[in-house]
Amino acid sequence: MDVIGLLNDLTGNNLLLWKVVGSTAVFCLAGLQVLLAARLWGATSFPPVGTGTAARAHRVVGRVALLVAVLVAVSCVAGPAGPTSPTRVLLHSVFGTLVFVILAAKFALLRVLRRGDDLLPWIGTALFLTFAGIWATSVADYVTAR
Amino acid sequence: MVWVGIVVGCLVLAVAGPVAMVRENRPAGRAAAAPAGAAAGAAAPVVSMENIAFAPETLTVRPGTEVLFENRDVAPHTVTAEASGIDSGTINPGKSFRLVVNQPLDYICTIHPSMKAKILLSG
Repeated sequence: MDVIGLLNDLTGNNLLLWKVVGSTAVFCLAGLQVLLAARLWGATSFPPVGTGTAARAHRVVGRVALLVAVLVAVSCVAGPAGPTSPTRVLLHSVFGTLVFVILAAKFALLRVLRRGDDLLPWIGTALFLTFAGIWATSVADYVTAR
Repeated sequence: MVWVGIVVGCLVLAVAGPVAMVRENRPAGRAAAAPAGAAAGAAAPVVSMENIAFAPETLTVRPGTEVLFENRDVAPHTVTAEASGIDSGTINPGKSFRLVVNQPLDYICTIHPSMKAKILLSG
């Protein structure tokens, strides 16, 4: 099946642009997730919402971010958009792999094994930094190539 | 059970990227694809798609010339000239597209819009 052709048609011949928008959205949502997590853990008073609200928002935002990340990842795997330079593509692939390994580890710990709460700040920070790496090796390259 | 599925899904996606990259970049497959296209159109001018670019970016041919577009990249591309109503559809890595040129063309790859090139007519 011509997945990339289908996605390109669905996005009005603007698949790469939509991937850029998706990656940027995920990166921003990941940053928001760090802030919300810090709030619900009581590490900061920003954003100015209650911890219950922060927890609910963290859950919803996380699911939206995961959904968008999966959509972008599937389009990347179905039709790699590189290389414009081999190092960039290599790093992008490493970050892409890492982000889903970390997500798998997080869900396995929290939802399947139900332990490892004390690791959450580290896992969350690692996720945000990895999403930043993905963003830098794709969107930044897309913008500077224009 | 749902979360086990999500964990497995994440791991599958984690592995899928490198596997796809290695498969697309396998030297044997790519080496085989290029000569096959070249042999098929020995006399036809060739525009290659490589490193997210058309090469050459400007090609001059006589009217009625058949031009061969070869995708030597790891990414799928298109040859699209909307003004002329020409669209190759998706050309996957290792595949090619032939076009008889009877008019000047400004074309792009709609998957990677930064890829732009043109064909001019001589004579």
